[in-house]
Order: sequence, then structure tokens, then C-alpha cells
Amino acid sequence: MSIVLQFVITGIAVGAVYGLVALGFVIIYNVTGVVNFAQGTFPMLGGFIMVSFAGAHLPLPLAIVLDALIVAGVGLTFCALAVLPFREARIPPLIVTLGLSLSFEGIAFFVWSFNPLSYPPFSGSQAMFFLGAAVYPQTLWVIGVVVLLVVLVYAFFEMTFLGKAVRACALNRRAARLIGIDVHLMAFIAFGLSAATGAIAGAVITPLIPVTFTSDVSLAVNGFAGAIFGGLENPMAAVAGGILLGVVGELAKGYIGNGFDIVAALVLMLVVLISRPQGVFANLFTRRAVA
Amino acid sequence: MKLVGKLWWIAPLIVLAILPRLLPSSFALTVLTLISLFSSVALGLQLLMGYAGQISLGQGAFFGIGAYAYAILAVKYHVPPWPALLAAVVINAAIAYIIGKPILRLSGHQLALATLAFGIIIATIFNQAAGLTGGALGLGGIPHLSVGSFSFDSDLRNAYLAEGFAAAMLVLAHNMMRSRIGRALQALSANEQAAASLGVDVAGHKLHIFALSAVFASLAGTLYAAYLSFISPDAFSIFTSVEVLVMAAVGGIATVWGAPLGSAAIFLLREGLDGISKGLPSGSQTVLQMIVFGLILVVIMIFLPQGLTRGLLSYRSSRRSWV
Repeated sequence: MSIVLQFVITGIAVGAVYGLVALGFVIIYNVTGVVNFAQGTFPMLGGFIMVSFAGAHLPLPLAIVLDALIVAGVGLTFCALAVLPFREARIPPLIVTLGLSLSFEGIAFFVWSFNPLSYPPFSGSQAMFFLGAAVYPQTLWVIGVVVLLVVLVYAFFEMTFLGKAVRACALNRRAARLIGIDVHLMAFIAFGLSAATGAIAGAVITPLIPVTFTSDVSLAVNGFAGAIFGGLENPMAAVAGGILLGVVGELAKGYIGNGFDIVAALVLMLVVLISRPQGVFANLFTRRAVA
Repeated sequence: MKLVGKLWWIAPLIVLAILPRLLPSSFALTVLTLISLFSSVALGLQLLMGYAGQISLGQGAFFGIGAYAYAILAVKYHVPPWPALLAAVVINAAIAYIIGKPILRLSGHQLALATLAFGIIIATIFNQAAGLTGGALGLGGIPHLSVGSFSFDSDLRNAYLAEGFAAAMLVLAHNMMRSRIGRALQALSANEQAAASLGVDVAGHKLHIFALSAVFASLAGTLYAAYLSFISPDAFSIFTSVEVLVMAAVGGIATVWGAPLGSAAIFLLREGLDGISKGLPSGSQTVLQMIVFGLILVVIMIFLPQGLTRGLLSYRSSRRSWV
């Protein structure tokens, strides 16, 4: 029992990060129509940059803010390359993001080498025990930070004027443009926000799970799969899907073998794509807008 | 005029016939064989991208299933080579239909996600199902193809076989585009709704061309396994699928001539990059390829979305019209 609980707790922490990646994926897809294959690049870079900052003894809050800003800059560059040159979002933007993720994996290899890198947890590594399962403080940090970010993103889209403008784009780009919303600016906001939240997710998970130059693959794949659960369009369903996949993945890794977490996620994704392409949780959260 | 059009085919045939004899080493023959085989894989993807507006990230997996199905049937179950080749084709086509049927009704990127998932799952199976595939160590002793007592057992013979295969696939694709099916595909690539209103079965045609692209990859994979006699999972990873995509993108979608050109360009570039990365730390070879191929995808899509062949052709024709 305690071992199952252990997998579930680790799964929730990992899944929270997947959920945030899925959320970023849905935000970009809804606002720009682009399927961003480079979604895993943001948490990967976020993790690596935090390792470098921790090595330079930067204060933690400052490091995270700087990290998010740098990766948001990368996100804006991606937007400029994958959205602006194309009149309609179909196959070419998708290929551009695929090329970007490939190049950034290579660049990360040359900057940070191929070894898994990590840095010390935020508040010690003294495990607490809950029904026989070990809970590390960093696990709580991950879950707490992800919940905070989801709430902030939600508040941004629901309560601010700018957020509502972005949502208008998600509902109908052409109509949003007609009433004077700068669609390109909204695309940049979507990419910047998605990259910054992704970077923070990568930063908080790295003390638990070291980052490598190929980390982006499993993050992106689980992020997509989570987003597919929400039919690619429903943000909160995507977060829920990500968490579910994290738990299923940890169980698969624990009971079947290493490497099967991705397989489990992908099999689930294929099943959902084939049987319910509109998403499974779509009825749970019926609103289609960004958040 | 018609005669000239027919005679035009002779020039590339002569080049194909002489080229293997001119190459200096068995290494050069191997590269020629691989270029020919991958040009067929890329051709399948080009047809899918150019005419169905779909993109597959699973061509490496279809290629791998072609190789592994042939190898496993021939080595473990002693099935004769040609039936094993056919079985591999049937398996791949069946998988393509099973995945494609529900997915292809949806919008363009769903197939990319589904085939990406499929590619990673298949690559994991190649690695993990060691009892069947030999796992990461690979599978050896794969028999060469043969006709009667003539066995394709040398580099030279395999180079000719691969060239002949690539040429046959090219002619097949070229002629298909001029048939009823080809015209239907061209119609639906121009405007799906308009094509559907004229009675073109849009989902059906997309599905068939997806299966055809899987069959092209499968045949190339079988020839690959039969030529090398040894296969390991590395050759069929998701990176292989991306490489095929780079070939198709460089060559240009919707022109059959782009496939051999793209394949040749990428293999030659790879050799060049390997030369550069000799002094760098181990593992840099693949990584350098990743950076360069990634940048190529970005640059081609933004500046030459029709690919190099189309880009150059339209440059020529625009100049001609200007003069």
C-alpha cells in the first residue's frame, strides 16, 4: 500500500509539471493555432539555467525570476519564427517548432554537456512520512508552485483586460482583429507566458528529477498527451490530464520498467486521440476559452 | 515533342547504370545505397505532406517495422525472403490503416501527434522486446534477397538493387499523380471542401496515401535489413523520422524529384558534419546533426516552404517569363 502511495505522490509532483506544460501548450494552441512541438524546451532550459544560477550562488527568488524572464525571451523568439512568417497555422509552423526543439537540445548539450544536472532543494531534503510513504519538502514546493501558477494564469485570463483580449483571440482570431485587438501582440503574450510558466515548472522539479539535454522529449510528450485529454483546447482539463499522466507514468515505471512511463502516456494519448478526439474531460470543464 | 519527353527518361537511367561502377570504395557504394533507400522513405512522406497536407513523424518506425518484420520472420521463423518482405508490407499497411482511419478525419496536426506517439512506442518495443528483436544489441544473420541462385550479397549488387527500387518508386509515384487518384489528390490538396463537393472521398484518399507512405518506408526498411544483414534499434529512432522529414522538406513537398535530391543532400551533409565534429567530445556527432537539421527545418519552412527543387524551379521559370 505504502509503495503505491509513494508512486502516486511522486506521480502527482511530476504530473503537476506535465500539467503546467500542457497548460502552456493549450494557451499557445488556442491563441495562435500553432501546435508547439518545442513546448518541452521551456522547462528544460528553465531547469538548466537554474542549475547554473545555483552554481553562481544567486538568491533563489531572484534566480527564478531571471530564469523565467530569459526563457520567456526564448519563447518570444519562437513566436517570431513560428507564427509571424506564416499566414495560416498549418503544417509549416509545426515543423518550425520541431526544428527549434531539435536545435535547442543540441545547444543545451554543448552548453551543459550530457550529464544529468541538479541543484539543492529549496528547504532541505528531510523526508516527512505520510502513511508510510516518504514526502520530500521539494515535492510540496512543486505542487504548491504549480497550483499558484495555475491560479495566477486563471486570474490573468479572467480578471485582467489584457487577459480577456488574449481570450478573445482564442475564441475567434478574425473577430478579435476586427474589434481592434493586436493579434500578433496576443500571440507574443501567449508564447511569453507559456515559456515563463514552463521555465518555472522546470526550475522547481529539477532538485527532484535532474535535467538532461533530452528531458524536453518526455516533458513535451507528456504535455501533449495531457493536452489531448482536454481535446487540445480546454486548459483546466489539460492540467488534470497532465497530473493523471504523471501518476500513471510513475506506476508504469515502478511496476513495468524504466522507460515505460512515456509508453504509458503515449498509449493513453493514442487511445484518446482515436476514440475521443474531442477530449475526455471536455464535459467536466465545458468552457472553451483560455482559462 | 512526345518522343523527346520519352527519351528524357534515358539520361537518368544511364547515370544510375554507370554511377555504382564509378564509385571508388565500398563505403561510397554504401552511401549510395542508403541515399536510394531513404529517398523512397522521403518520397512517401512527400506524397503525404504535399497532397494530403498531413505530416507523419512515424516514418522511421514504419521503416523499422519493415526491417524488423523481415529480419524476425527470416531469422527466427525461417520464412523465405520474399514472403517475409510481403508480410512486412502487409503489417505496415495494416498499422497505417488502423492509426489513420480515426485520426485523418481530424485537423492537420493530430496525425503528427499520433505518429510521434506511435514512433516512440515502436522504438521502445525494438529496444525492450529483446527475446524477439535482440534488444539494444541488435539482430544479425539476416539473409540477403536473392533471385534464383543470384544473391544480392555484395555492395555493388545492393547499390543497383537500391537504385532500381528507388527509381521504380519514383516512376510509380510520378505515374500515380497523373492517374485518376492523383488528380483527386491534387484537387483535395488545393481545396478540401471543393474536392469533396465534386465527389472526391477526402478521408479515404488521405488514408490511402498515408498507407502508401508506410509501404514505401516498409520496403526500404526490408531492403536495408537484407543489405546490412544486421540491424539495431538506433537506426529506427524518432531522430530517423525527423531526418526523413528534413529530407522531404529540403527536397520539396509535392515534387517527386525532391526526394532523391533531399536524401542525397542530407547524407552528404551528414558526412561533412562528421568530418567537422571529429575533434569534438564523444556524442557530438549526432548533436551537431540535430542543431544543423533543426535550423534547416526552420530556415526552409520560413524562406523556401516549397523546398529547394520547387524554389529553384520557380526561380528559373520566373526568370524565363521575365525574359
